[in-house]
Amino acid sequence: MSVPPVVTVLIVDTAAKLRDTTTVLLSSATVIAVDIEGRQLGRDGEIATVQLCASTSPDVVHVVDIAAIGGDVAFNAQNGLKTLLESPHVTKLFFDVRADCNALFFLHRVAIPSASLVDLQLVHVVFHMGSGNELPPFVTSLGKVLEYVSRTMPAVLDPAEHAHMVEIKEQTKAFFDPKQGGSYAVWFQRPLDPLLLEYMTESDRRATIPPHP
Amino acid sequence: MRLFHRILDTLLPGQQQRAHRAALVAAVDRRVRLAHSSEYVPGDPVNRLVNDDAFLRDIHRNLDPTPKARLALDFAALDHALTKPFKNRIKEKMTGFRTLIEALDVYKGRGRTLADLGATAADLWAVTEYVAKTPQHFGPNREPLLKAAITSSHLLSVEQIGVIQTYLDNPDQGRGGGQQAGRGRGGHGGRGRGGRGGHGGNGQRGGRGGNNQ
Repeated sequence: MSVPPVVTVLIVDTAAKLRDTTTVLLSSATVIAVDIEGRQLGRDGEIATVQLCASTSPDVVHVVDIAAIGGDVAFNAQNGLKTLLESPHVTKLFFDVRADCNALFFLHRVAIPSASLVDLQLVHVVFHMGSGNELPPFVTSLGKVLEYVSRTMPAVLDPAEHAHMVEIKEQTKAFFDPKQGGSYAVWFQRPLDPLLLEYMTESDRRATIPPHP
Repeated sequence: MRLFHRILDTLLPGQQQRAHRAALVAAVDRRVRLAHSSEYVPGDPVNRLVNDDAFLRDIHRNLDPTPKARLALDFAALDHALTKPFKNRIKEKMTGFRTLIEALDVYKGRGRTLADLGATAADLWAVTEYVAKTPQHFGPNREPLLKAAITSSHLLSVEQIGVIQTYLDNPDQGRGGGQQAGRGRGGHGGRGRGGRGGHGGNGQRGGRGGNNQ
């Protein structure tokens, strides 16, 4: 099995680091992939981390540690995260925006403008129909999309890399999936387990996580 | 995370992203509006459904898919109401039609009717009702199509013809009328076609009429 390409993970766990990060991203990034982990994501839940990955430096993932910084501080006007997410000039790339937007809006009053959002799940629907297929009855999960890409476009996602990701996902489920005896509380425990960090960022546990500049 | 960028660029390269931008923004806007309301229930299995009316309308109105996909979309909207033999026949014929309107042109004097494609009374009514209730899809073609449906009156009940006439008399009536008309019993079967029950109308489901033999 091939080793996944190295990803640099930058842990952003103080307000000062967050200000630096968002300042850089606001001035340089045009498209940012966003993902969120937490407990029961939605208006009744809690956000633990927000991961950001700019298209200009796709091998760097910023893990904004909301649990460490505190939600009120992380999303206040001074620290830039709300500004970044609400910026009409930076496209935010999500996979299924609904639960994430529900949580951001109700928990932290972050309202991402629709025009600055791309939802990969909807992109997949368009792609599916543009290929001459009928409208699928259900939206497709990220796992299924990755499986499809790996199977049909191995140059985009190497099957061995995909197999590694599936393996990591299966292993991490035991941490956070209540059905497998896990708990979403693991997203709030520090330090984050390296396996969880790998799951969140597609990094490799052997990759070094440099201190934030 | 960085896979998000790769997937986007793969499924929908830049030019196609621009071509489908309106459809994607409309669909994502609907998702965001839902997420910003208390109607959204995180984790509800219904989140997985694509084929709800509003989503379909957003895609339908804004997407400019390949002609075949456009026809597939029309029939996906009707999927719940059409009989299997008719669906199979239409699928066989899909390459021969570019849009549902073109398929329905058989109403309008090519010497064929939808019955020639295997449509039962139930199918004819479902298609007619779809045309009546989605004026935004058919524009100026709506009226001639409905008039043509009336000329296929040997397949429709007196009540159904009355409903179509109501739509014709009230062009702005749009969606409402069909729902009312369809409520209730299975309606009349296709005369002369033997065993099949007619169509109750009901627009959404349940219309596959009762056994009226």
